[in-house]
Amino acid sequence: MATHGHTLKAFDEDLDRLRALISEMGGLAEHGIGEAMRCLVDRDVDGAHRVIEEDKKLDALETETEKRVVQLIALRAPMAGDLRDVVAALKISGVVERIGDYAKNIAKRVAILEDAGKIEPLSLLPEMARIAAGMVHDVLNAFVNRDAEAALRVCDRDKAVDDFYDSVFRTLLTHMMEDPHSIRHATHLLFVAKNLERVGDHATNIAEMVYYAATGRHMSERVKGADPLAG
Amino acid sequence: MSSAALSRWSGNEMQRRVSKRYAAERRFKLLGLLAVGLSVAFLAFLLVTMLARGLGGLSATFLSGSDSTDPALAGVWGALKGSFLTILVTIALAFPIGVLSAVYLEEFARRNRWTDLIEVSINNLAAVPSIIFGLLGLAVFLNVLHLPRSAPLVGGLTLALMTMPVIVIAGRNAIKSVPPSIRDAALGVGASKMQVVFHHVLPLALPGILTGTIIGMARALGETAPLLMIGMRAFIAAPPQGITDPATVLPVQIFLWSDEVSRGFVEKTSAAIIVLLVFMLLMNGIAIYLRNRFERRW
Amino acid sequence: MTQEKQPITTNSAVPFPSTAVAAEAARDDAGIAKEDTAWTDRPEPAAGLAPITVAAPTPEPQDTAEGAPGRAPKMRADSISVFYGEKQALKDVSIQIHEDRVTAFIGPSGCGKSTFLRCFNRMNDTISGARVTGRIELDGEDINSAQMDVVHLRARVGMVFQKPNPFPKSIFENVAYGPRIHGLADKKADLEGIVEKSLKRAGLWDEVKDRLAESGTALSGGQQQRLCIARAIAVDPEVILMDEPASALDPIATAKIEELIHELRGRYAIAIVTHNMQQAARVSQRTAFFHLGELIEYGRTSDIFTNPREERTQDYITGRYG
Repeated sequence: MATHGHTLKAFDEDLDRLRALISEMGGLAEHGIGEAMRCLVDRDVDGAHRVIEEDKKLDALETETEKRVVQLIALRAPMAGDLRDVVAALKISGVVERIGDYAKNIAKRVAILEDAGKIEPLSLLPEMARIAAGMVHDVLNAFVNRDAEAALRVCDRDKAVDDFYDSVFRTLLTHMMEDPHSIRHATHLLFVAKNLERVGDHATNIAEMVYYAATGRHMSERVKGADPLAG
Repeated sequence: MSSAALSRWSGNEMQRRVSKRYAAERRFKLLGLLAVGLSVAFLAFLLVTMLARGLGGLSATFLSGSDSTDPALAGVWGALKGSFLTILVTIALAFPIGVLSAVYLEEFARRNRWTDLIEVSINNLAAVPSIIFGLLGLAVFLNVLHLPRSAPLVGGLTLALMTMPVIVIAGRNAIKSVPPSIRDAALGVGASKMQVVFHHVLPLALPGILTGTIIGMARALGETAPLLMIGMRAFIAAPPQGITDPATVLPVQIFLWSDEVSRGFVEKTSAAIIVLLVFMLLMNGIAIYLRNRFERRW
Repeated sequence: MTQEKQPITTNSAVPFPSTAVAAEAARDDAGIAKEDTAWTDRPEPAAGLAPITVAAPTPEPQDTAEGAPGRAPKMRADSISVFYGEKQALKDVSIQIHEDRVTAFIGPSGCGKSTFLRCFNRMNDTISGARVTGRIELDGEDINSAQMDVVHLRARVGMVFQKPNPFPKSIFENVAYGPRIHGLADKKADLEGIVEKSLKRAGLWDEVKDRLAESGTALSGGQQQRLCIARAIAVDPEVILMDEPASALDPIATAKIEELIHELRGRYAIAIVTHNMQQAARVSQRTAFFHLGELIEYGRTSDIFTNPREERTQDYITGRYG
């Protein structure tokens, strides 16, 4: 992409501030998922409450992003790559906010699962969460750096998350069949796994937006045949 | 003193500089006023003395009669008519030829060494002393072409030669100052070069061309030297009936009378000067009227 | 200047631009839809028996620069180079101008876009020292050939200039001049008809119909420019070239000119040079980007402004140039 900045430097500053906002949102969402999972594993109900509280910050940042995007379009009239970037920022902020909601949702289940006994899949979930959160982290880095290749690599990792989900699903199902008493807890854990799987999907979604913003082409136009979403 | 102090607008130093600038402005205005006053004073002196001396000489006989050896019978009509005919010939020749030359040089001729040469020649010609034109007229029109001596035709031809460069230069400048956007506009709707020039450029340049023509004509009207060379100084007692009749013109008449020893001709000289001035004023007035009529905004 | 003192009342007869813009946008959508169906759905003679196959929404990669297949361009420029003395102002530019499409030429100052535009009606002929090489066709006919009369060419390919330049004559005379020199009207009534029709098409009729005898230079800047457009259409051209037609106008007058360009599209092939990228985006369907005398990129306006292929285009339209 263009190696030099705009003639109007304030334009660059605006774009940088927008990217920083998205970056901050991504950091919060990533942290939210990590914390929620830690609380789940440690049965830390107070920590879970903090995670739920922190989600409000994400909502505020989303509103802030929307306001800035509208201002930037009105005042700077971005074109081509800039325009794609700005529109992507708007869309990404919405998606990241959703990811934050998933973190909140996981955190809400901590209290319910507090009294649950040892359930085996719990050992799988933190690793799955790590991958999903890592995808969010990397895809937002890709956005900030306008790196289409990095976005593509993020897509490839969605497969791993899906695989984790399948295996968690099967394990929990087995559990439930073996021990009907565990159904209540196992179902909640299944929802947690589903949430993490959705986080991975959303990260993939963001990757597509980043790819379009950076290249002007849609990912589906490029990676026909080897579509990472087909798996 | 630091620069901060120098740029303090309310400081004493600054106030002093400001008042100095105003003083310089006032001095210059005064000087200009003096210069204008001086020229107006001379003009007023001329007018007053001429009117004082000449008004008595203005009479019906003076305005309708021709030259005579008797100051009481001498009139200015013959010279006036001669001037009129001469100027007519000059305008009839110098204006169309001058304008056409200007149009050709400005719009059609290619820029090359020849046009450069012509341009330099025309500029030089405008600065040549009028007596030279008189000699030229004498040599060409009288000695070679054998045109009638002392006639307004020859006088007009000679003055036309003298005036033409002025008209060409003024015309070229006027044509140059027509905005190119007008040419573009006309070319853009498919006008040919000729149509552009005659429908648009010339009408817009006309006021400027007329200004140049007025200056040239005024100069020609007051010219004496070249006309002396072609014999328009003869004593002619009858007003000319055509452009080939022997005639004299106002400035020459004034020159002749001022040479007369007879006391009565002093008054006649001043009266003739008044007539000449009125004639010139009239011509300029007509020209200015024409110019304003053709003047258009764009 | 009287034209600046012209009260706004002269403009009040026209709907306020916001409504005009809304209407324009709606029409644009319709126009684009029409445009796209115009050649995706257009049955080829051979495929006429099987319209269903034709109706399949095929992407149109071949449409980006070459124009629709089977549709001859109105004007075609082929390897055009322009020299001013020793300096080459334009380097080997080829482009096509289509009917019912507005083609915009954009680029930084001195990039050769105006020079290029002036090749299409041979206005560069009037500049001494200018030399044009290459071939330009109007309906397949070489405009530089001996058979092509430059006077007729300029009637067929009209031009509107950057600065409004009405003749210092009456409004009527301004519009009537072209038809008169080309002998397009025998009777006075015919001429009056042409003048009225042209002024109506230029959207100026209602504003000036009661003062046709007044000087064209007494109009406001925007009105003057529309008068110049009326003057250009009065000779019934096939192509209209516009050299930054709104650069000297205020935003409202500019909006009216842009609206007018929209309305004229379809009736004339239009090529417009503009410094204002937003304007190119608003009025054109094809955009050509010039830089240092070269044609860098030519394609659909929507592509150029969202996803240019060339980095130089991207830098220019996003404001990173120089």
